[in-house]
Amino acid sequence: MTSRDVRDIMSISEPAASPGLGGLQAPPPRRAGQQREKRPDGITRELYALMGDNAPSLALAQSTKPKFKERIKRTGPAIHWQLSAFTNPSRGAGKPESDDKAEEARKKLKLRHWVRDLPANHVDGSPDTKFAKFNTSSQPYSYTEDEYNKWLSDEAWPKEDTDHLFELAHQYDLRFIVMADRWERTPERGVDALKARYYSVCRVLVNNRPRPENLAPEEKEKADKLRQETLASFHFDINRETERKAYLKSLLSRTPEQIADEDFLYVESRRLEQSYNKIAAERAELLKILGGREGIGAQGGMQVGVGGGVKGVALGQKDAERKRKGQTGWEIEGLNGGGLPEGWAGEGSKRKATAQQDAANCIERHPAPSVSAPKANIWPSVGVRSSRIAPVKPGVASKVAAALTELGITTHLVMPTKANIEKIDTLQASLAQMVELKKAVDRIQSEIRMVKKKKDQLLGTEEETEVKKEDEDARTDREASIRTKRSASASSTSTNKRARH
Amino acid sequence: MATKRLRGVSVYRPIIYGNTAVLLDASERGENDHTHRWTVGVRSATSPAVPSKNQASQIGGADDLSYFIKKVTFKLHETYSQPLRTIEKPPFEVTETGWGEFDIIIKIFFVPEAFEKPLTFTHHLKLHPWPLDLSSLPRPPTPVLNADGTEETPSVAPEPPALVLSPVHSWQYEEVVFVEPTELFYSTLLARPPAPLPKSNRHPRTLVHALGGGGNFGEFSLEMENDEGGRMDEARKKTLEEIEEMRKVLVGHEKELQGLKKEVEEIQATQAANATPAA
Repeated sequence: MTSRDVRDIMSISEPAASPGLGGLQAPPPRRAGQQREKRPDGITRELYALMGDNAPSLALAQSTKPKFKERIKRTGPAIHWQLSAFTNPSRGAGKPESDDKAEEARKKLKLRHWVRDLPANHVDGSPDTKFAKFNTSSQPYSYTEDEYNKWLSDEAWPKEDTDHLFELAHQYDLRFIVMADRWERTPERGVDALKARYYSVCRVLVNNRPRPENLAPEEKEKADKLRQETLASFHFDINRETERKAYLKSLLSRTPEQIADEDFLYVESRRLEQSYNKIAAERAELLKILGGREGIGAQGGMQVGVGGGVKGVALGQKDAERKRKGQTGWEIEGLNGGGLPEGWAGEGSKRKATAQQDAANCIERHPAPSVSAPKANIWPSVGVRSSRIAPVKPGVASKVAAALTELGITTHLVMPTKANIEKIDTLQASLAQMVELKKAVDRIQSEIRMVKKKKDQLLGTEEETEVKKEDEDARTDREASIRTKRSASASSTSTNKRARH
Repeated sequence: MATKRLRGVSVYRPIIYGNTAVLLDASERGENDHTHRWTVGVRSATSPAVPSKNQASQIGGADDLSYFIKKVTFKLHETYSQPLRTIEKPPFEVTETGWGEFDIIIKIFFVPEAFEKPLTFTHHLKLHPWPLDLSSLPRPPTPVLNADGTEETPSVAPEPPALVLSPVHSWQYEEVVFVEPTELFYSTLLARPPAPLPKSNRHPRTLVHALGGGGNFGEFSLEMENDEGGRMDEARKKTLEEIEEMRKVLVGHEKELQGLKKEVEEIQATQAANATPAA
């Protein structure tokens, strides 16, 4: 295949060649000076021929040799395949003759297949035993007339049906689904019914057939055990099986909605479980903290607060007093020894600092960290007041800021004192509340609009019944009906139009 | 022991930071184009009871802050020689001359026993006078139309408020809050309570100046704080009224919506009832 062939196939005329001569045209003689491009490694000859002289720039640009899969190299002579006829041992080939015509036909059926390296002595039509080892049988049970009469008679299963069942079992090698399909007798019996009958028969047979006599005692035991095992293997509970199948069926016949519902419920329950676990863990931790602290305090009057230790014994009596003050003893324990000046309300001393003194000293007292809020103070240890304006919820922040400027107030305060910061916090909080209320009002207004529209639509369909009444009105007092205040609603405007006609 | 912190207590100190600018005389102007002499500084918020003669130190500075401030650095514009000025002794101020406004980064370092990180502020150096808030001024009298048709302006035209060209003040009040200070630092702080802010402006009428952008005059005082608080309270009252109103509207709307929904349901019901016998 050359580029010329391709041109031919694509019916592109040969460049610089006279049309009509086509394939007979000799390739243009290679010019003496022209250097034939060398075929790069890794490109097959056919591909290179397709590309012609237009060597791909990309491939050439590749400095490394592209790697292609190795071609399979075949040595030696070609393999000889032969078509040969064979009979199948699984169809009974090689078995003794029988009277059944159908079986005989099955036995003699000759199929043909391709075989490699046939042996020289091969005879056409001989059984192909290659897969014969897979032809196994489940060895279904069978019973004699005597046995049936003695043990197996059943009201629900006449002898004919049972015979038919065992016939099928032998024929289809206990494939119950096929057996149920080929069931020819009335009443129609399902797979489970067939199984139940078959296994019950087997159980009876195993139970009642006499074991071989003249056995050594250990052999006997072995046989008993084997019998028990066989019995167990023939266990079949039809009720359980039908129930199982019904359940499976209901499971498989769920609608997508039901599946989605179940998934949702599952996820929800998982979530609840998880949150419950989380809460339980938190609660346990909290109880641990509480129990740990209070337990020690209650027992020996020893506090785990700062500087408990030596003073701890005396603290027991002070506990009640402390609790009345609302102090926990956590933070201020042992400060009296710290060389603090007057005015500091330490735990052992009476509180001497008054609010006035606090104000003069610019002291603020905030609630000590407690268990419920272990870090009451989220601020860093030093900071400026103006940076402590409480943040507004991000959802409404921009609107609150706009409302604030509308009121002529900025968060950049001239005097960012504590009182003023608190004021701007409350102001921003109420503004946020206002913004949210506004949103709620807007939402409800749009809802009202929608409901009104719906109502109008409904009234529009009801028009017919109303029109008759309105027409009477129109006849008696036309003008009044035109001026009727109901013209606001869509239905009555249309009725007015009718009335004017 | 010194690093142990007091739980449940915070101490704050009011300070002000900002600048004062004075126009230069013709004689003071050198060969460069500088027009103003300005002083940027960090001071205590309260002003001395008797105002200083020096225009640059009329606002604040009654207390010495060196008991909790170790040093203050001022980062000036790069065109100044040594733009990072470190002041280790009070007064924590830098005086320079110049012609342009720019942002100064002020960093306050605290005394070592405080165990605190430095705080940083940015101050925009203000040289030019604040714009006059016209709405806050008394209205000029309207011309009176005389009987003969000529307009006559009352002769007693009020003095137009003079644009205060010099000095120009721009100060920001701030409170440095030490949350849970160390014990040692706490005792230091308690030993030096700040001078309280005056109830109202004590400065004479001749010494009024705009303080920051708020259009306030005179020294920082409690009155100023209360004024601002009052404005916010007013705004809050307004907001609360609005909220109340809106709540009423919301309730009304809700009732309307309920009624409408019920109507729609009734209509649907009657329609359904009408439809079935027809079918």
